[in-house]
This record gives sequence, structure tokens and C-alpha cells, in this order.
Amino acid sequence: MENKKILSVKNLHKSFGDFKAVNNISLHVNQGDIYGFLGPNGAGKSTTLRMVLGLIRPNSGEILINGESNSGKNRNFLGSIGALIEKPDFYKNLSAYDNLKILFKMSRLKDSNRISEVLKEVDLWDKKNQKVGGFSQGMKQRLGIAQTLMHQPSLIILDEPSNGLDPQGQSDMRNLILRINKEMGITVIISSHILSEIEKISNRMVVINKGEKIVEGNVQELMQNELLKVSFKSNNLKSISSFLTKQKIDFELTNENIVAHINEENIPLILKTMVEENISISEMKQMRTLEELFLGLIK
Amino acid sequence: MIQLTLIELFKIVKRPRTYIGFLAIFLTVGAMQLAMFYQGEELISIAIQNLENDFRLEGKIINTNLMTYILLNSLIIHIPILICLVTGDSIAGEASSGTLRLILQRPYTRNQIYLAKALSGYLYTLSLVVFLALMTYVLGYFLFGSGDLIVLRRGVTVISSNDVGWRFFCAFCSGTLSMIVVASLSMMISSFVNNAIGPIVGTISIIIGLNIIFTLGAPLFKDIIPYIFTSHFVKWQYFFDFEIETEKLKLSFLVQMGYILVFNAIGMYNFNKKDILS
Repeated sequence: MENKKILSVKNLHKSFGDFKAVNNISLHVNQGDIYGFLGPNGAGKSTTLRMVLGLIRPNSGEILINGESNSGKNRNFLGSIGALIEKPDFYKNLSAYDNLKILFKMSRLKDSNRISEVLKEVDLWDKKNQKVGGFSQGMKQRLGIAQTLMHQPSLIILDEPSNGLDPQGQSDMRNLILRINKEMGITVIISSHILSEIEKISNRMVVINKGEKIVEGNVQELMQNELLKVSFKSNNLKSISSFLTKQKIDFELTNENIVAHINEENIPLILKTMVEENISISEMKQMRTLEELFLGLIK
Repeated sequence: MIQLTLIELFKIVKRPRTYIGFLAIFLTVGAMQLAMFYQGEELISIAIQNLENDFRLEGKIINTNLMTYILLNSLIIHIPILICLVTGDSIAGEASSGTLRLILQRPYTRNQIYLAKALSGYLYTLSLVVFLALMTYVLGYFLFGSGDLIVLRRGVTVISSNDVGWRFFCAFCSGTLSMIVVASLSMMISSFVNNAIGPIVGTISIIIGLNIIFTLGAPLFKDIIPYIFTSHFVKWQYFFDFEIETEKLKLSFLVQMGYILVFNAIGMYNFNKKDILS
């Protein structure tokens, strides 16, 4: 069964003067996805996401949200999207509650209990009367997430949500995103240059660079498509190199370790054979990460 | 639309800079009234020195009506600055602080948001002018009491204290319209820039520049002066003439309404086209 497409972007172009910020990008996000939007700084991620939200007008191309175009004067599509673009900016002179009250009213919502609910959801209820100007970055990010949830959208767009957060804050943010997706059933688009973040929580992703799409697909499949790098350390690197040569496996030998290019599914068998042949290994480490895939793709 | 305007008013009420205008009016009007209270007779006798050769002036010349008339002149430069502090900040300030992208993600059109900001800005403008009127009249009444108004404009006009109320009402209405032109201009500039200082500096520079042209009255600009909006900032004075020139007031009203429409149309067009990059 084909998944329902919650967002479709077709042949999107945007230039600022001579600079092509987004060049012919097409992608789609399925309902229920945590969709990673990956690319180095200046790749066109934020520009694309802003075009989805109608903050920037594309030169050409089409954006469909739940099958509805976001162009023209129709703004109703925004009722089904919650977004946190770049950094979480609020009215600093107002309390967290008042900030959400403004956005609540602008979302044409009726039940004001929703403000309390989302503040509790992101663990800011006890800070509701504190002015946002005095909030830490982590608290602002959580308030940013709260405003995206308020109108119970079917799609949430988070642009670099872990920016400026400490490792604990990043972990909390990841858990919050997973909870939003799994427990509330909300589709999430997350853009990040913290590549491990995408790898850890996304099921599908797109990689863009210099405004162009490089690859799009299932994260696991993208990971498995290419050979893994496996690093071996041993007091007898020669025996490992002989073994790998015999097995016709490509490798690089350095003074400290050997880095071999191995198909992931062959790893157990290779390890078993090495043990059987009494080759001593002091450390074995899988080096193939999304980051390497990403760096390879954007070269 | 009402909901959006109320939201914008809520933001204005909650911003500390909103009260700078009221504080400035309070201090300026207070200081001027006190100065006139202690040294007014001396100052007025210098001003009417020539008149006293031809007329015998009796009674209390300095009264709340005269003070209100004098302070209405602050509409030319001072009050526009205070208006720009709030209206000039309404789009550019939100763009620079990043909250503009937050509110543009809600299901309202940009036209609706612009209009709500304009309407709330106009209400703020009205509140400033009303505060100026109350401050000048009430404080003046308390310090000087009431009396006939002597106006030195194209000769001498003496208006009975029973006849000044409606004139002041019309003068303040005319002044409010002029200040709404200023608010519209600063809103328009605000839609073009992403920093809060630009609209304030831009609006005041335009007003000062046009005032210089108006004051110089150079023949080169003679024909366009009636259509420069700053030349209508003093049209409220027409309500204190013995015979009110209604045709000129009508033209003034139309010119100013035209400016309000044009400034808003340009501002809305630009706001609609604008890419939100902040």
C-alpha cells in the first residue's frame, strides 16, 4: 500500500539575484515519517522550508500540503502545519503564556486549555508567567516546540532544533521529537547539520547541497547501499592485512590500524573466519556513519 | 480582523516603548504649562507688544485655550517622532526580532496582518493625540482657567470661550488625520526594511525635509506645496479663523486621505511580495 503523501515538492526553484539558492528540488514526505533534511550550511534547507511555509515565494515549482497548493492567497494550509524555523524567536517582553496566547488567537483556536496542555507537554508549565527574555536556549526551543503543537497539526517542521543546545538538551529534544511522532502521530520534518541527529531519529531523508537534491530515500537503505568502513586494531596488523588480501577485501593500512571496506552483511562471517584463523584483534570499530555517507555525497 | 487588531493592540500595550510617547507628552506639556504659569505674562507681553499700540487688551490672555492652541503646534515634528516609535517598529521590529516569521505561519493573509497593524497603529496615534488634548486642556484649565482665545494668524482673531470647544474638537480631528498620514508613512517604510531604526529615521527625515520645502516656500515648489502632506499638518489652524475656509479644509482632507491610501497600498503590496529571510 502506498503511503499518503503529506508534503510534495515538485521542481522547486528560488534565486536571489544570480545566486541559485534552490535548484529544481523535488521531494515528498509520507504521513508518519520523521523526515530528515540534511545538508551543509547554505545548502538551501531553510530556504526550501520557508517556501513550504509561504515565507519565501518560489520562482517556480509546486508545493502541495495534504494535496492542497500553498500558493496564492489561501493560507488555510497553515492550519495543518506547525513550524519552528531557525531559532525560536518570541516576544521577549511577554511571558511564555502570553506569547502562546497571541499565537493561539492567531491560529483561530477556541479551547484555551490547549495553551496549558502544550506548556505541560514541553515541561514549561511552572515557567508560564516568566518573561521569555529570561529563558535559556533550551527553554526557548521547548517553547518553540509548544507553539508548533498548539493547533494539533498533522505536520511539524523543525529547522535545526538542536542548535545551541548542550548534549543533554539535544537528547531531550530528540526524545521529544520521537514522542511527538510516535505518541501523537504527527509527521515531522527535521533539518539539521548535526548528522547523527538525523541518523538517530529519521526513517527517511533527503540530502541537498548547493541548492540541489543529491539523494532521497529510506535512511536504512541508504546506509546499506554502500560498503561500511571497519577499523581494526591489533598488535599484529600484518596478519590482518594478509587475511584481508586473501579475502580480496580492499583496505588501507596505517601505523595504528587497518581500515577495511566491507559489505555489512559479510561482517559476521569475516569475524568468525578471523577467530578461526587465530588472528588477534584488540579493537574493531564500525566507521561507516551517515556523516561519511553525507560527506561522500556532497563532495 | 477585529481579533487580529486586538492582538496587535495587546502587543502595543505590553511594549515599554509605547509609554515613551505618553511620558514625553506629559513632561513636555507639563514643563511648558509650568513655564507659562511662572513667566507667561512676560512672554506674552513681548508677543503682543505691537498689538497693544492699536488695541487695549483686557482680561486673562493666558488661559487653557491659548495653551492648547500653542501646544497643538507640536503636531508638526514632536508628535510624529513619538508616533514613529511604535508604528515604524510594527513590521521592521518584528522582522528584526524574528517574530514576523512566527506570525506569518498562522492562517491569516499578509493583507489582513498589515491592516491589523495599521489599524492598531492608528488607534495608538489617536490615543496620543487625545492624551495631548487632555493634558493641555485639563492641566491648562487647572493652572490658568478658561477665557477667550486670541489667535494671531493673518491678523487678530478673538474667539469667545463659548465658541472654542467645537473648534478645538475639529482641530484635534484634523491633527489626528495628519498624524495618521505619518503613521501610514512609517508603516510603509517599515515594510521595506528589517531594522526598527530605519522607519523612524526615514519618516522623520522625510517630514523635516518636506517641512523645510514648505517653510521656504520657494517659487519652484509653489505649485506642489498644497499637495505635500506636511503642509497639511497646520491646517487645523483654519478652524480658528473668523470665517472658516471649508473648501481648503476639504482639499486638505482629500489630500491626506489620498496619502493614507497610497502609503498603505504601497506598504501592503511590498509586504505581500516580501521574502521573509530574517
